Amino acid sequence: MGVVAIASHGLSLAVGAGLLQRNRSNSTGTPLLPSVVRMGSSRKGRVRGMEVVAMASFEAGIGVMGTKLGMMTYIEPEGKVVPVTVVGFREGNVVTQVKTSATDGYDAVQVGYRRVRDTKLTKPELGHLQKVGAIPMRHLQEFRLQAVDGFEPGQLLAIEEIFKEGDLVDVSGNSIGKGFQGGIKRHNFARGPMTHGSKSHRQLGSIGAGTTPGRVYKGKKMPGRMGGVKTKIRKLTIVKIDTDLRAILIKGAVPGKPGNLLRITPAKIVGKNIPKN
Amino acid sequence: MATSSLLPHSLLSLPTASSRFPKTSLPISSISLSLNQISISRSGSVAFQPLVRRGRDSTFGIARAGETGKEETPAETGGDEGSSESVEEESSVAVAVEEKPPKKPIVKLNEIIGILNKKFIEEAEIIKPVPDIRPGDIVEIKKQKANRRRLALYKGIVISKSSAGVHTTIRIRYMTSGTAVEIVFPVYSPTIKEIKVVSHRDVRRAKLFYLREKLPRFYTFKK
Repeated sequence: MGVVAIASHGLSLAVGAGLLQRNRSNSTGTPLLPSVVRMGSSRKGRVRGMEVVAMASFEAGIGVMGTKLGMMTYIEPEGKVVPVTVVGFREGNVVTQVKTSATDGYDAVQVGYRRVRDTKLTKPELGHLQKVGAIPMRHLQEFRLQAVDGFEPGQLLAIEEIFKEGDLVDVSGNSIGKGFQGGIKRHNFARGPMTHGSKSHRQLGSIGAGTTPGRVYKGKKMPGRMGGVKTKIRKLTIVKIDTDLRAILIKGAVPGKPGNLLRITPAKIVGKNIPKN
Repeated sequence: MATSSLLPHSLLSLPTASSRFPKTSLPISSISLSLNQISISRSGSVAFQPLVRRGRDSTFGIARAGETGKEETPAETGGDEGSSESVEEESSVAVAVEEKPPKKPIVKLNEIIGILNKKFIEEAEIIKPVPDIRPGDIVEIKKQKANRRRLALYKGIVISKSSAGVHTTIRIRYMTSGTAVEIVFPVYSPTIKEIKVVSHRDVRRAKLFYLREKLPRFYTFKK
């Protein structure tokens, strides 16, 4: 991991270990400026005169956004009983912007989800959606792809065309917040004995060595806030797609509670469809 | 009420709701009620969506009365034309003037799981009808095992039933060759080929787990 400094327009960006000084991100959550600069990177473009090297990872294909509805059982025709999560789709999944390396420095498709009242969005947000003639939508997420040829602004993404039964998908969403939690729940630490005169039941125990190094290492697992962060569950099977109800059944559990926003993308499997730089 | 003082019974002189309201507003409120019923039955209409709020002033009902009077006549004429034109349309009077296809009811997201459960149960019922099973029933179950030609037969007493949509399960307890066995069967599974209620034992519980402590003769059945 090399540390490289880019100087342009009098501004010097010192990039170290993945941290950026000026890390502005728009409503999509993806940083506008590069997060990591590595030697031998391929994608380069110019954004406002600055040398931009975007290094976020690619998606294996266009994805959609959905809503977690709950879990139920699905009995396969052979008799196998499978736990499934039902994912519903609100009005949305409309392409709102197509970014290309010529205009923005990287290739991505921006998709909106969930129709809301006009009054709930700011005028800049409404204008951004009206530019492509889309309904007012709450969530905007980008799917960074290698090729954005087949996508037009205003295009409706159909779930049946992107996914089919038996596909493997990655599902990401905000996990359930657990609040401030101790070491046992947060980091799977073992607790001390409950009897035999023990005075330490759920404490951390030792947090370091002695005079050398004489400090606690950074990143030492300690109590803190747990959950409520973006979590991705990989390689889940799509068991069934129901076109009338506009719902899909995904095997297993997904992050969050019913009503949670999910981001469903084709699974990235090493050796099969992980895009190479 | 001038006559209240003359009457011996004070109950008769209690002011009723109808006596409080002035007589002029009574017919209007009744009209709006009847119109409400008429307009609600015409669910196919697109243009007119009545929202008669009782809390509002009485003039609100009068305005609605005029509108519905106008609305009904064109719908009726439209229905007559439709019936005379095309017989295959099978449209009743309750079709909108614009002749749109019947609107699909909007499915709320929180109803989808319930609808899916019902759908899967219907599909399972077509293959094999499932009788109503209660704890205390003595049932015979024929189950298809993998890589076996003959169906396995189980006969026992239902000691518990867990209703969970398509994953409704029953727990059967029976005694075989000196061993007590409890098996959980998913009722709507395609591997279960037949469920037959043979007899019933009167029980006063929903879960008969007390049979585990009882003598084996209470859960032994001849096949």
